[in-house]
Amino acid sequence: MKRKLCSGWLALGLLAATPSLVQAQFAAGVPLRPDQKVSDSPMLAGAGAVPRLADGKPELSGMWNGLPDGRDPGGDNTPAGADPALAVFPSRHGDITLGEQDNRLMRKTSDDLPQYKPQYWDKINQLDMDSIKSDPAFACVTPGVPRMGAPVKIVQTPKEIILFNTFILAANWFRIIPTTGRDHHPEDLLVGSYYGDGVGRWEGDTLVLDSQGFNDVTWLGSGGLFHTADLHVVERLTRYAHNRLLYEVTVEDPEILTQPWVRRRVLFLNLNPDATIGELPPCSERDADHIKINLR
Amino acid sequence: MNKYRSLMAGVALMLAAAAPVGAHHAVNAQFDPDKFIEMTGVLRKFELINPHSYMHMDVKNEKGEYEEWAFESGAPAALRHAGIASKDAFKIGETYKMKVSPSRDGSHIGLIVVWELPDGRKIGFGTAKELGLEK
Repeated sequence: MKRKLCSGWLALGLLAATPSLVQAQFAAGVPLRPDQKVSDSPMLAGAGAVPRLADGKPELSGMWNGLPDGRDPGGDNTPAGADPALAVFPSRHGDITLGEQDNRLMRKTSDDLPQYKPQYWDKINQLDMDSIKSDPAFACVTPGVPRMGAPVKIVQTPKEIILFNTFILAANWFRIIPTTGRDHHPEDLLVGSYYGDGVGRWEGDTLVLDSQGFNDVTWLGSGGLFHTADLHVVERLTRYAHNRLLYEVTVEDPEILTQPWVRRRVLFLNLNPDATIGELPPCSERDADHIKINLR
Repeated sequence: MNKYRSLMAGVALMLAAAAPVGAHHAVNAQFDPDKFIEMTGVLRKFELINPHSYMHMDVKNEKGEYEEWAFESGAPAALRHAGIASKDAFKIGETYKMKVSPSRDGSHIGLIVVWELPDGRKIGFGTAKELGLEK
């Protein structure tokens, strides 16, 4: 038992580790800046031939939450304590409150945020200040698309693709999107959903997923980044090496954004054959009534 | 020492994850991380729920009467990684000692900083300051 607990301590460290590992765990892969190309470094370029389905299309199936070298970052069903060397606390003095301050600062000063029209800046500030009450994700509502981020796991069939996302503090989510090239059914766009109505088509070796018909409940990200029901999300998935997948997201909401918000991530194939997504318990928010200082 | 450091890292993440969904809430928002209370309680219920698991305890007040308390801990998946969410680590009816950061609103809720098992082993959930690692 003692040994089990000790290895567990290391595992908790693994969960936090460096910011890049955090990203690997909870938002798979690494971000690609606008001026970066996947050929810029061996780490980004990856290696190996792209596997293909019988119809010649690239095979996208796999667990895409690996570390750059293919190791498992520690899924929910992964034995603890894989690599203690990764257990480096990214916060100053190992202090929780300092870590939280740093997180807030990094969130707010990121240069990778959607650009809103000036008339919405006050609204965003207000939502941000009230975010313990106003952020739908705080109350266990699904983050929706695109906030749930890149898929952790992909299952592909000749006619559809299934994207799985998971987040340790909340739940597991999935989307099933046809890839036959058909257009949206007009009635599906009237529903107003959290993930939108998604349809897929191939452009060469890139799978393009077009999602529309959202509700306006979810946010694009922390800090009051709201969107309207006219949100339009285009995801482009390109497996350019055996162990690399480029995940590009273009977010359009022309009523409130001055320009499309484009984000790119390189995802790494998880080479652990036992890697999977475990069950997460239900999300039940208990803290909001006891919050005294409005801090995220 | 490194074990404690690792554990602190985990808790910080569970409470303030730099993730697409963002943090749930800051420790500071709900609890006073500068205060620590030694408490002893009898475990009544262990709730494995997101975004934070909760341990419900009966705690004796100064009049000798039992009061119901709820103590916040990490997300279930994080605890499972640590191997400390198993049923044999948290026994209903068992008496546990804890070091707790109290809630800011005075309610019978606390953030577990140190969880002491009956055999004396300690599981740390705290800050560097409390665990004696402050630089």
